[in-house]
Amino acid sequence: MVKRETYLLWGLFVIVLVTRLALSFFTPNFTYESYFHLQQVEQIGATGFPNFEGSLFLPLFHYLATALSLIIPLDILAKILPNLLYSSLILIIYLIAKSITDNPKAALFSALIAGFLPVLFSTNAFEVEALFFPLIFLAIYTFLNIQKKKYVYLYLLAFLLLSLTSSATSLLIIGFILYLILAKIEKKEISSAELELILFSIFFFLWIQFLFFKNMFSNEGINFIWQNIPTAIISQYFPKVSILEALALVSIIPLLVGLYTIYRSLFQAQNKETFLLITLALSTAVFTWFRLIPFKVALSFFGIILAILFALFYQDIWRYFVQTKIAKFKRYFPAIITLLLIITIIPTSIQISLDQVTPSDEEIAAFQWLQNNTPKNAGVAALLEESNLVSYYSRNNLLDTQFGAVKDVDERFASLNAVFNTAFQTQVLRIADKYDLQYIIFTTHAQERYNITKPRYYPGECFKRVYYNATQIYQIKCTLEEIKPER
Amino acid sequence: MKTEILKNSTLDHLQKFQYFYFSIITLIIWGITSWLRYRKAQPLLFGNESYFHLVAAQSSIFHPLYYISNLSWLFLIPLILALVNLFLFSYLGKKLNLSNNLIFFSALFLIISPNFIYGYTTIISATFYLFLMLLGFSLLLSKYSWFSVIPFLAASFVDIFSTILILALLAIYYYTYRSKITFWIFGAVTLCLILNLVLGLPLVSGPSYQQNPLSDLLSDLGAVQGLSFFILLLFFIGLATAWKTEKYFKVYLLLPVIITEYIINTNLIFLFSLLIIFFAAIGFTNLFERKWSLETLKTFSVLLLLLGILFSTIAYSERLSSFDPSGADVEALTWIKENTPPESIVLSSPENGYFIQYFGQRQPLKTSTNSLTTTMFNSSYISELFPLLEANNVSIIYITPKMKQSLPTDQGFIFLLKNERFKLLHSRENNEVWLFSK
Repeated sequence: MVKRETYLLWGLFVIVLVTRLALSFFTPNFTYESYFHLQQVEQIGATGFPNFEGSLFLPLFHYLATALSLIIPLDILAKILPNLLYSSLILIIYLIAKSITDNPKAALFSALIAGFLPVLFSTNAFEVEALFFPLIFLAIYTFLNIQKKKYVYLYLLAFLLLSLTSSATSLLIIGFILYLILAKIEKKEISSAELELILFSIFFFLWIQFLFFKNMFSNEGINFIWQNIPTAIISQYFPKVSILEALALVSIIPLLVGLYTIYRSLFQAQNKETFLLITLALSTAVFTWFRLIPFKVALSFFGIILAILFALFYQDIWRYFVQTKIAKFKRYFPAIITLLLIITIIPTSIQISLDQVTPSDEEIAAFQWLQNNTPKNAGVAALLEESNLVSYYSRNNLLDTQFGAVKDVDERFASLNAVFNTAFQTQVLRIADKYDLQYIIFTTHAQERYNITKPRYYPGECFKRVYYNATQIYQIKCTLEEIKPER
Repeated sequence: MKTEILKNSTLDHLQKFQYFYFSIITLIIWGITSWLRYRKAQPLLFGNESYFHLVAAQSSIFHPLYYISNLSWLFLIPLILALVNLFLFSYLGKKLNLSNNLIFFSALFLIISPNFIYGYTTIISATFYLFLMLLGFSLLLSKYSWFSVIPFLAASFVDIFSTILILALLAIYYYTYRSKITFWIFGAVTLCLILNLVLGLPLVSGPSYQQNPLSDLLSDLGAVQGLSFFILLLFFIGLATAWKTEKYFKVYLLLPVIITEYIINTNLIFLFSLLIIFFAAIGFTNLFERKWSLETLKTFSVLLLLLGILFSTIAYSERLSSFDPSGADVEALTWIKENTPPESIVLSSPENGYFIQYFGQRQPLKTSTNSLTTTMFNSSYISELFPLLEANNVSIIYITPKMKQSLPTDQGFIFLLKNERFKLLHSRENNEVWLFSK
């Protein structure tokens, strides 16, 4: 029996991995944000260190990718590695679900949901979250088993790696704190080992954050939570909670079942493992509600927890089912559940993968032209998300999505919008002088966003179109000079 | 919680000679800060509150600094106060029968906390108040208890909140020791409180500034004073564990008083931080004395905490050398003093007000809410700005590099300075003095 579940599990892993890789290679290129991380990997490969100028981040994922890129070419590795890591979540979620229910079948359903969770199905995203989510759930799994000594050391290792991967580890820290508080209120016993590991985790995490980001904390104060994102677009990163969006990204069955399980478990005695997972879900919900963590990260974490909690629901519903009059159909029950899950989750996941916004081959060609035909330190204005491509192709951008270290972020964002929106040459020239820009790249995305086919100030004697395809590149040929009054 | 008495010869030695070692650390931190400022040709006394008190001292014979406000060794006063406070703190701790570990770690966290460092490198009323309080309680616990009325009464005249805090502490002391003298002192301080209310003493003494209770609490978030993240964390641990000990239970009664006062006015950060450090020391002592299931984990946890607190201290000390006023500020304001009419009104950022008064000996444009100054600096047209400048008789404008960073250059106030009615009189290291001619 156990062997059958093992084969099913590995089979599921292979299916998910193959699906993800197929979708990844089907969609050309990577998401815009990925190019920032690709650039860092190349930088580490060349110099041994990431480029922290203008951006602040934890570099473990990039070092891992660099090490692997010695064996596999980066452009292929960048498609394989994130998908492999996300697929590995299936194994970890299975282990967690099995440890809380002791039911391999129920655990398989959790693994199925986690493997095809829509919010995690950006198959072309070369991003830190690909390493973060497997690590955080590995840390949770080892924490749930710290009665055995080896899991203590595994937990410490997982947490150490997690702290060097992403600041979103704060989700786990806050979950632990809430766990301690609620355990105290509900008079649940917390073992010494648990308490000590939690304390150590808090101290270590804070210490790492302080080591890497002390200047950002000092410069931005409490606003570091919102990562210095321009005011005009902060609602995109910290939107108001949308139930419809949550339904789409987590899928209806896991969301509703998970919420029901949390609601029911809050008022019933449950084992400590379930209690921990519920506090993690609650802490995520609270912080999302108060817009203290980016929505996508919170929803992903929440979705995976709901996937685990589905195992509890399945176990309960199975126990109830076998006592009903239709118990004779019990052998069809798992198949029905599987079918329901597949119908509701997989099409959405595939659609999300196909809807990923990636640069087209033509746009990439334009950026490559920029790299080959412009001076190395040329300043280029591109759409915010496309600016990562500008940096990837070794040019200076006006503003990209790494807002942390930018001092005048709102002003820069307004200037960037003005470059694409304005009809006045002088305004563009003033911005170009201020930020040392020599080129403007006008992709099809920019044309769609601003509903124009070329800049409103073109043709103009100060702008020369140097590249013309679906994407256009304009060179700025003039500068503004001040006429000094005679005194 | 399992505890064990740790036999640690190094710790014993440190605790035995703690006053000596802590004084050395205090002197080193003070020395480095002062040397860094001296190297950059900056005045050794810095911070808004220092000059707030110096300006007040120049105009009031009753101010404690009246007779010494112009002395060149004035910058040594905070250091002397700090060393005396450290001694009194250790003495009082022993008198209250606190454990050696608690006294040691409290004092250690105190002297390396950004708050205390700020206190012994600048002139703030809180360190003077602390001195009087420590002296008062030290005397109260000694055979000279009646003399304690002098420092308590002196401390009562700092501000209203400080007087309320004295009453709270005396109430706790009376509840613990049932001392008749305390009862009389309590009465005397109450009379002082009434007198203070009649005289219109401020709620909290110190300069006014834009306040944020959370940001002002943590030096790691850029607060001028404040504490380390790690101390705050230990504070919560201490809060969760100290209530089990009857001796510390009464200190919880101070929490609502001080927290409320702090939220109303974050100038009370220094006093609030003393309470936080006390609980943090309890939390740390509990962690230190506890028997952990993994001893290696304990060692690393203690090390992480100490390193984290030390990092905050080092990061803060680096920032101290850039606090205003700078050498260029002093030079520009001295130029204003020597080259402008005495009745000139100077427009500048509200944070520069006390520097203008002390170094420039000129009146800054002041309003009760700083909204007028904000309106002026946010003006985009001369038709908005000029009537405001004329109505308030502003003739001098003082612009610092910090102000230039916060104001847009291609429009707004900085752009309007190109108008012919503004004339650049003096400039040094981007500190500019402008004349607004009528």
